[in-house]
Amino acid sequence: MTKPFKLTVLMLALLQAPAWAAGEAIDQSRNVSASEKIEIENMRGEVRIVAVKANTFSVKGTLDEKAEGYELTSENGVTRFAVKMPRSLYNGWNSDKQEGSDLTIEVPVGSELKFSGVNANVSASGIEGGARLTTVNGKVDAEKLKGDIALETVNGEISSRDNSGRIQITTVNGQINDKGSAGSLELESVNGEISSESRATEVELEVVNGEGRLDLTGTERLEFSSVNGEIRAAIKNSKKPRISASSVSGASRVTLDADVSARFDLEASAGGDIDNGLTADKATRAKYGPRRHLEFRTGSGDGNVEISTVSGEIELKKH
Amino acid sequence: MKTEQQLDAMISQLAPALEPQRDLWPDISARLEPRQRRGYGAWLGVAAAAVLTLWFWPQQLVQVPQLAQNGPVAVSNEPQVQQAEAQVPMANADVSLLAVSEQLSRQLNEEQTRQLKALQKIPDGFSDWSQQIAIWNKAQAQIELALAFQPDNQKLIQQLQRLQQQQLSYIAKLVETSELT
Repeated sequence: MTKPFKLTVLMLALLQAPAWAAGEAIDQSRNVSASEKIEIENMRGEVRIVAVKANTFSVKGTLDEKAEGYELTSENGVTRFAVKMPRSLYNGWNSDKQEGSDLTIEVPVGSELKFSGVNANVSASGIEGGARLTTVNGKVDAEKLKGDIALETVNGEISSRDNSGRIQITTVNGQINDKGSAGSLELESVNGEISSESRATEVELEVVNGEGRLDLTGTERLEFSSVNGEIRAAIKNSKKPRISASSVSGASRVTLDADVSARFDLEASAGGDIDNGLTADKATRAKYGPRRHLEFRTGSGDGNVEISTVSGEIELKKH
Repeated sequence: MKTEQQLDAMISQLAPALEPQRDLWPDISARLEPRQRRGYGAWLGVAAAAVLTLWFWPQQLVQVPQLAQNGPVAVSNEPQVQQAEAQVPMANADVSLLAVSEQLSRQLNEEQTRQLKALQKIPDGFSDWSQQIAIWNKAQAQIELALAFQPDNQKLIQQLQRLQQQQLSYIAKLVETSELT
């Protein structure tokens, strides 16, 4: 290889460098309070947030290659860390996850966390003062969080494991997988699929086109609704549940304990089906119009189960 | 097989009206269950539907134009607000509140659709927004049809409200995402 050729290759490589070069390294820490409010803003990349016993906030890793530095302030119980991005990047950046920051952040166990990103994947674990994790195009992974918890994305999967408190999980197109949650749980999706294995005493689920699968233990109150999607809810160890559900043309399939004690009110307004596998009671058809209706009671009727559909299916089963 | 002309000729020979041989109404009337009086609860639900729609109407009109600012068409909201206000006396004029609510909802949807179409860039994940809106509209139409048979059905009214709210939340999320990306 000739010298001028080598030089040309080197110069070309240098010109291309910003496209693949790693961003600026960061290694910062601050002493903070045990119940510090922590706000993190990182538009692109991967961020891992873990709880530690020490009362320190630390951030390590590399910043977004397009970043114009960062802001780290800590005062009056509030610590704020933001990766500064050029305004021009707010429009039209691509969603290539290889671009962006790669950060590991440590926060005190008792802190309250707020994270926001756009094309970012975020994971958080062990934080007990509440957490709000929001991204647009990216995954959210939350484990062993406590307190008020909100997990939100538009396009991306949300994974929730062993979280407890007041939990809200929202997506538009992504999938939600929840396991081991406790307290109260709200799940919402437009098109994504939702699955949950939960011990939450109160559960709400809302889907439009997506499907929902709930395996619940000890849930006392359950509300769910769908437009076209199918929802399957199986509840164990709930002798007098309060269930309220509705669908337009989707299916609601509920499995309950065989010895459940509740009053049931099932209604299909316009052409829907009711399949009762809990008792021998059968739905009756209205004398005029397409309405079907079924009311019955099991045990002493302590709980209350109301399920309605317009033209979908209602199915009751026992464990 | 008879031709269409032959069938038309036969039809033209038939009497234009057909009367029953006896009065059928007494039998029908005897089989009808006594009509239940509409309770206050039902009216409250209907009123809530109208109030909810009216409540969301101006808010939405504020939100959507933020989208349109960067789009090719800037749309003034004033006529729509006046139109919405003009609907209120209709409700007082003994027109069903639910009907007003439904009408407002339809107008709102049309306005939303028009303004969303003016967007230059639809964010990732919302490219099928018009199909999504169509799904809600279709579902709402199904509920409205069921309500025609059971106008006092609280569950249906609540379901209709829920769908309207979902639709508004979806559009709000679209706007928010559009601004972020």
